[in-house]
Amino acid sequence: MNQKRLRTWSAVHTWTSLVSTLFLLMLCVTGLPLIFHEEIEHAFDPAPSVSTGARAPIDGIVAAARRAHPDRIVSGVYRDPDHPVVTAYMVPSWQAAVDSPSDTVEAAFDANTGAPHAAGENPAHGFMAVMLRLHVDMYAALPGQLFLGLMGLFFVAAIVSGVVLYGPFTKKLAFGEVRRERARRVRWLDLHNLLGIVTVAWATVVGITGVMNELTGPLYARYMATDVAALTAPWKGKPPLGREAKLASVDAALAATEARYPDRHATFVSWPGNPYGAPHHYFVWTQGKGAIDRYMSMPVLVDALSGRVTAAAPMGGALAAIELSRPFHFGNYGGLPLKVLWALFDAVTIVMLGSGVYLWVARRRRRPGTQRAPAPQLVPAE
Amino acid sequence: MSAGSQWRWPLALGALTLAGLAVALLGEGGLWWALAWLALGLPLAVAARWTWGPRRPRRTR
Repeated sequence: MNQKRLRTWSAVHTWTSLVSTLFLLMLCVTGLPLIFHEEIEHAFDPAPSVSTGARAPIDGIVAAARRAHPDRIVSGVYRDPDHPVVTAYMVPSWQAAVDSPSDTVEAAFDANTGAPHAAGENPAHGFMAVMLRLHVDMYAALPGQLFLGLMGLFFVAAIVSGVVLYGPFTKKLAFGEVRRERARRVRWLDLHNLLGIVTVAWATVVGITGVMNELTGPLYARYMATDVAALTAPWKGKPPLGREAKLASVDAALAATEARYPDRHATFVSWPGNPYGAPHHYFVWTQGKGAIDRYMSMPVLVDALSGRVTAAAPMGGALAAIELSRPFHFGNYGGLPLKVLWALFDAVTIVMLGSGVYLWVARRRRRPGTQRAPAPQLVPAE
Repeated sequence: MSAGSQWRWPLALGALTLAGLAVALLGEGGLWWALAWLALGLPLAVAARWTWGPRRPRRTR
């Protein structure tokens, strides 16, 4: 590689890294507890439910949630597939569900008995919610998601340029060689190269899947405006279903869904009127039971008045790819040991980010008064 | 050092990582997950080896 190209790649690596480092550090730090969110929340659960196999009616749970919060609308109900807990989500209004999603009350119930569950008193719950919001959008909704997606693209560019630079700058070193007898900066440079190249595949996968996840919002909006709108076209123009509407049983809607699609579980129901669902349907989210299918959600539309399944609304193309990419970002698909490995990779990435900043600062200190830093940024191995 | 010998380890560890990620997803637990843990653990073990382990003797050039 000639000097000009080396200089260009070096500049790409330096600036894509520097611009994104602070945010990537935040993502790595908030990502650590999120990897173990199930374990942490379970550990702090004051009264963990134990599955007895019994299933309390969801209709009864929804009625209890309404009694507890009469000033709110039930926007959805989540049936945890892994724990015997049912959570009812309630918002002040449909408009508030869009404008202030954080103003959502979550009421948890024991899925076996239907009794209120003390999940709301779980001290880990609030902490995890803060970590999640910081990780997903930094409390800035869609602009925050797109910004973090851009930072993810910088991260991928930094990885690619780092791999390109790895060749010329380690050419005279054996693999894994760290020149410990040399100055601290050189030692850290060798460690930076070693840790980077060893974790490059993991970091690339997590970076790309992170960017994909940040695009979920706009893609989901398009899916709702096209695919779902086409399926609900026959109901267009009909008056919305108000609070007084006599809705079909949710239990019946869930049973009808699982009867129509026996290879899928119904996990979440959006109420008719929910801006993220459909005006006249229960929007029932299902997940498959197969190794891959379990990560692929498929909404099913159930007529909210008759309780009949009217259509499935599979998410194709980019949204399906995002669905499948999620486990590769979360690391939650191979048991606790995989989560531990994920956390270790994450920790190595934090070291990578920190050492990158150190190398940049150390290099600038070495060249006081230099207006334009001469390339290459990294010192080739001698 | 030839490009082949320089990139042999990085390519092998990268391929191992990707295989581990895929096997964990496609496997239904048991042996498959154990293989995935091994595949993903090896790159980290290599990093630990060269970060904290005994030094490699410097090659004579």
